Amino acid sequence: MDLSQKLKAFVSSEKLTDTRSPADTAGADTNAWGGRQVSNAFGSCCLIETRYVLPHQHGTSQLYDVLGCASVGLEMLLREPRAASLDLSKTVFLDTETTGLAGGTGTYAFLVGFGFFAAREFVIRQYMMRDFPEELAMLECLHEELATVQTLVTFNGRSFDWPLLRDRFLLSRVHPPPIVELHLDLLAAARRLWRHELPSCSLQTLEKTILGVRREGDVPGAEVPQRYFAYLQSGDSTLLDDVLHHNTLDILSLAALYSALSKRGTASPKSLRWSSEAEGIARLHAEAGRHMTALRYYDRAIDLAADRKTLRRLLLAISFCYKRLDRFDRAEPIWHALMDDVPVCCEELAKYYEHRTKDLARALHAAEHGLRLAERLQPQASERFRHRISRLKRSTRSGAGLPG
Amino acid sequence: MSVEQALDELRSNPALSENITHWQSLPARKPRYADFPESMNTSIKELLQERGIKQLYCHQASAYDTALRGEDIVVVTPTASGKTLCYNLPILHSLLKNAEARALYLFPTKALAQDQVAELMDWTERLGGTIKTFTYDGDTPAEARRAIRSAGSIVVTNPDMLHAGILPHHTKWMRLFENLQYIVVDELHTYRGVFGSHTANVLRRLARICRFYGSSPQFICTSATISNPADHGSRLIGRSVTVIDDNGAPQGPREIVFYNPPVVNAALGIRRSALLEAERVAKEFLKRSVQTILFARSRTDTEILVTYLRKTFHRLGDASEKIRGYRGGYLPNQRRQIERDLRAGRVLGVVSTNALELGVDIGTLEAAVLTGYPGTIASTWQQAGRAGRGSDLSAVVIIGNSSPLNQFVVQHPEFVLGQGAEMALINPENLYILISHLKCAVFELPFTDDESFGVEDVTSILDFLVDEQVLRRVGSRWYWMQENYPAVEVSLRSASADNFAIIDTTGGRRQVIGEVDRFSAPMLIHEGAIYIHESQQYHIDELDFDRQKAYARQVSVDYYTDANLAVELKVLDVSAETPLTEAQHVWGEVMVAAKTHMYKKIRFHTHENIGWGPISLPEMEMHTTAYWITKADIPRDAAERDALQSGLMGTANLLINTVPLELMCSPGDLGVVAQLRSPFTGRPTIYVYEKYPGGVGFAAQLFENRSAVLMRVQQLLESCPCTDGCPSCVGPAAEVGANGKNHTRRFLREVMGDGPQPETQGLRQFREAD
Repeated sequence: MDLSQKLKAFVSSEKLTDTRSPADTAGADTNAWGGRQVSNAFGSCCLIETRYVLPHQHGTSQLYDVLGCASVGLEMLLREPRAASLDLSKTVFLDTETTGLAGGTGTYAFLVGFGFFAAREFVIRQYMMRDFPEELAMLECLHEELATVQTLVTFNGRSFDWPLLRDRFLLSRVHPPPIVELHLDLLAAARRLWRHELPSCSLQTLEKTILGVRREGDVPGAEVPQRYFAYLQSGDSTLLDDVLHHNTLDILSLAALYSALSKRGTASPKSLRWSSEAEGIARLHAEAGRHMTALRYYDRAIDLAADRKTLRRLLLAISFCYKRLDRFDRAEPIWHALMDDVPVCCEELAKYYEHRTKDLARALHAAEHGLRLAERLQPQASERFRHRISRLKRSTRSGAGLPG
Repeated sequence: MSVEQALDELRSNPALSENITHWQSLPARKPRYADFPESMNTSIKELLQERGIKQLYCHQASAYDTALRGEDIVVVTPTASGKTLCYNLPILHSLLKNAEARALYLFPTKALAQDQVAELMDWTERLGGTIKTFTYDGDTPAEARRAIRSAGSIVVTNPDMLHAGILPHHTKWMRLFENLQYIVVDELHTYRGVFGSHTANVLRRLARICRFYGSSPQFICTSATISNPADHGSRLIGRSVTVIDDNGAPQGPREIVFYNPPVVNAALGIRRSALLEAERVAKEFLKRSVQTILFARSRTDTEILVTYLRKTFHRLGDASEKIRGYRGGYLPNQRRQIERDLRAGRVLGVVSTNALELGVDIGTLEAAVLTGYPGTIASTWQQAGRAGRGSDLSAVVIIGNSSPLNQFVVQHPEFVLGQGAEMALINPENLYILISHLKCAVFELPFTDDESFGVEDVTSILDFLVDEQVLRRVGSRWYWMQENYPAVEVSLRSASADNFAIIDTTGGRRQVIGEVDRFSAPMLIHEGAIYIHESQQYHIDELDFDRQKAYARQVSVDYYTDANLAVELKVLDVSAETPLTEAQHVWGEVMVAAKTHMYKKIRFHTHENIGWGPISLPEMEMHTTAYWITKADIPRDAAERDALQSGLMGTANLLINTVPLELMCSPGDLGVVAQLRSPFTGRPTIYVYEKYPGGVGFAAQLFENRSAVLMRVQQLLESCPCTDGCPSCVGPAAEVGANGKNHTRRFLREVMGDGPQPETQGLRQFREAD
């Protein structure tokens, strides 16, 4: 038995029915996609350019809005001071389509698309390698395109698209990976505002719920790699029509999301319609030490809150704002109200009675109450309560701090 | 002194001494030194002196010189001979000289890596802290990984992590690969069989990545004694190596005792259990507070011994926690704890599988009791080396069990004492293994048609993968064309990547207590099995084969279980064969179907069979290689046929016990099937097959060395003191019938023929292909 027989007999998977030899895609019809072939020292690849005349409607918003929106909103939502001075003419909205999600050096970005504003248009350029050997030419084009870009806007690009592109550049050994001054990943901001409200924060979910975008005849992201492989095998360029469309929609939605987020970031409490948005903004203010402002947004969140769990979380957050503001007269009633549900409230009460009102008996009572609660709900916190209780008991015995 | 007292007891107590077949005193060996090499960095010299090292052992000095000359080396010395200095000295010297240079250390297990890193860090700190050492394994926290990738001068890892975690992400390790100057492969001898064949391919991939980043690192390997270090080393790393084996380290005096358990039934040739005898012998050391290690042959045996010894200790009024078990399947934290307790002397006795054979640091032990011959001479010395670090007296007791191989060894101690160790065999060209790693290689970097991958021409394999739609070929290059990540589907250690988890459900809890690999699952964790972990018995209530989980419950019963394996075999292809005269010898490819049908319950201590239960699990199919002996014809006469059947069974039993002696493999690597009328040959046939898909070269080696092996079988048969055959040679009479010895003798004579063996057809092609 020779090697090829052996391979067939023992190793071959029997699942295959398609025995056609793979197609030669080098001459794939670029016109089919409405694109053109671009060539450079490393060969050629395909460029598809689409122009949208502003104010182009996408979902319930207009792309034109992006130009008018204040980037201070994003600056706050992303906690990125540099976003405030962002120059939109040097900003691109980027998204890639890849041969897999697993990562590693065997995953290719076969389509890299990005959109930018020019004059009265939003322009999307998509660079595509029609087969693996075209990667170098594609990277060369991207190298030139991205050289003057200052800001990159992506959705989950910080952990996926950008590191993958970096790897592709490193592997090419031609140019070092492009450097952009600022990379805004909108996923983080979206999570801050909608994590508690939506089943997921995927771009598709956000389109449906926030941006009012309806996708029709779209290829699901999970099927994209197989589409590309099927195209390579068959040479049928129409297989990629949906993929190009999918990528275009992603980029348009990215721009729309940018404007939606900016607006939320500067919105007054009254203008917000969802509890989770108000809560997300409130939390950012609180983290930055602006507790008074935070309280205004928390109040709005309470107005809009629908369930007990959310209310409890909001009240707790409010009590901590008051604590930071030294308004224990406002914090104490909240801790009291929650002391049967939230161990940390018992802890706060115990601290408050011990250090502020010097009432050791009440402090001990709160701590013991907290221990019982913690043992049931949060065993890892029990130890802290036991420490506090034994310390309080010691102080009580020694008579220190006992009133009269 | 207590070691001496225990040895005196062995010598003078007739109940023990009558079982001793041989007593060998090995004299102390004096050290041989060499001066510090002149070129060596002064701060290293000072550090050595600070630690009381005034001179090097001669092998350490020669390793340093050879490495600095740029040669790839293999240092072959026994346990505790200071082999770590053999690589640390040249590497630290080079890294001090060039701050950009990097080194990659590979240890076969995580435990060994952690051990070495602790020592290494201590060194580098004292050398000014410019050399940063990191361990990179599955336990490394995500935040630490980035720092290791860019700043680690020495990265310590294992082949599995290199395979699945580092190479597929090589761009993140650019700094390492661009500046890689040294690769250390420690415990080279452990990279044999399947694991070695995989690792050789991982190193081929590593070499490709280094070429891509423009580095050409040099190898420093260390190994326990094997007979083919140069050959094995070069097969593994793919380059020729210089062997350094002039050991200059001293050794304290050692007493090696060969012990054969007494015969309890002379007629049936049954001896007392080696486990029970091991307990008896170990007790003599342990009750005199001699820190002792016991090696058992299997996981089950380990647990049985721990149970026995704990009871004994309890009776002696001592804490049973002083006895611990140690084996694969224990969780890492538990193992680290046991290692620490051993070093600190909190644990007096440890019962281990060969997991502790390697250089895990457990400090100095004074006695080693080997329950059963470990299967190879090299392993025997490795296990014996666990006792007697330093210049004090130490004791090693080798207790034979009733298997033919063990009986041969305890009756022929010169076999162990008088000759060199075995060969380490690998077969990096195993088709399954090679294909797996070619996939990984193409994933890492597109493959071009002028590249080689150990073997000259892999284009036909790559094109096959194109047909399979795994790769895409464009011109002279192959590209990865799948969504998945090939390395996760390839386990370097076993035939399958997936292990079965054993979950303790006692009292409503759900805690994972251990793991078993896929092929062992039907044998060890079928429903009704008694699985023993940390000497606690568990009853397997349910085996969810699809989800790879076994649900167990703590029990206390007086038996253990043993599953029967039924094997069917189909010949697919003949690679080489002798002409068919009276008999024929063949090497080829077979399909093996294995199924467990039932298990037996066996009572502790008496080892009587007290019941059985059915097992209904899917059949496991495997394509592999085999060696087989066919006899020309089947006699018409019924009595003659029975005699032939008996001879086949007897020879099969002897073969499975002898082959591991000749090829450095464990009996578990091979299976044997004897058939009076084989469906393929239509003739009486004995098959010896490899238990790994595709085989790793044992069958081919067996075919080539068949004369030596069959002569060893004859020798084993004739040296057994029984008259008609016994469990220690041909097997129990219940299996082979009466007069099995004579029938086997006759069968062997017939298949061996007399005079020189006829020229082999096909072997020439094999050699050329090799």
